[in-house]
Amino acid sequence: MATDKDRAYYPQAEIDAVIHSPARLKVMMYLYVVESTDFVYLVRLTGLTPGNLSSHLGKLEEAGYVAIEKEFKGKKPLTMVRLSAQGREAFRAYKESMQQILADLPD
Amino acid sequence: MPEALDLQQAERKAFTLAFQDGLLDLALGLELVALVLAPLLERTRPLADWWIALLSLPILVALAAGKRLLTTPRLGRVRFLPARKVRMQAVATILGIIVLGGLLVGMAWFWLGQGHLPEWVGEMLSPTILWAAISLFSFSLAAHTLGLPRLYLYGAMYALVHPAQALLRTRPDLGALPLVPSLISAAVMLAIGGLLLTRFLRAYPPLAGEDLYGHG
Repeated sequence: MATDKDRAYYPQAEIDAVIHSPARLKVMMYLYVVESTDFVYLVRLTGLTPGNLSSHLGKLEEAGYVAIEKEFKGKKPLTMVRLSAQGREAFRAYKESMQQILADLPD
Repeated sequence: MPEALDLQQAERKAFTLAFQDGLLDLALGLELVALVLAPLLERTRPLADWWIALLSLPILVALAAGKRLLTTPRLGRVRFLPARKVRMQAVATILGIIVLGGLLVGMAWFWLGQGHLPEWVGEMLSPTILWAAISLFSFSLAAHTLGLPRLYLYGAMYALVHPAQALLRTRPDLGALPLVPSLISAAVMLAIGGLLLTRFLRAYPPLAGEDLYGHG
């Protein structure tokens, strides 16, 4: 996902541009530490507005990083969001890349 | 960035968010009031030991209803990773064992009353010491697992209720004086619960509809 410009700035590692935005990083981080949440819980955890979160989830879903599942709790519809296996792997790789970059920085 | 990637902290936040509604504190405070009132009611009514169950049941029902009607619509739902679920099951098992242990101790006391157990066992099983130990241990375990430090304080407050009950039963001349520390403790829990609930209701107004994410 990293562009040539990104690579020039971060020569040691690939930076995933989909995750590398503060809001999406937050969403990915919270989804990484739970199995799944509904939309409301994710709004509360991230502090994003529903519209903003919806837009970021759309981008993450497009990249194949999150899976949106419709369920029913009694008669009420419930949308659960979770990281896909690909998203989990991407987040792990992103974390390692960032740690590598920070470790390589001169004092 | 390091703060943003503190995954342990993030998991803890995801978990403790569900306990910010103050309902647990209110239920524990009311339960403590019930524990204090039960011996008084036992004196005047014919239901004896059933009072504690009669007083506790509506508290449990109110807690469940509050979670369902107040918390879930405002906070939503979350499912945790297997590691967290296993930890919670382990704690539930330990607490179950403690309750079972308490029942066994109660039975031992009954037998002791019948003269079936040696005296030294009775000294070891002093109900005040056991109640304090069980309260402190179970609340500390819950505080550690749930990440709610105020439960340590609640454990100490619950530990004090048994001496108050014992004094009330054995020293009628003291009147309601032995109840005061426990009632103050209950008032503290209720005040904390009330404060948390007010803050929760202000911080998390209901979102427009539970299923807001318009996919599919």
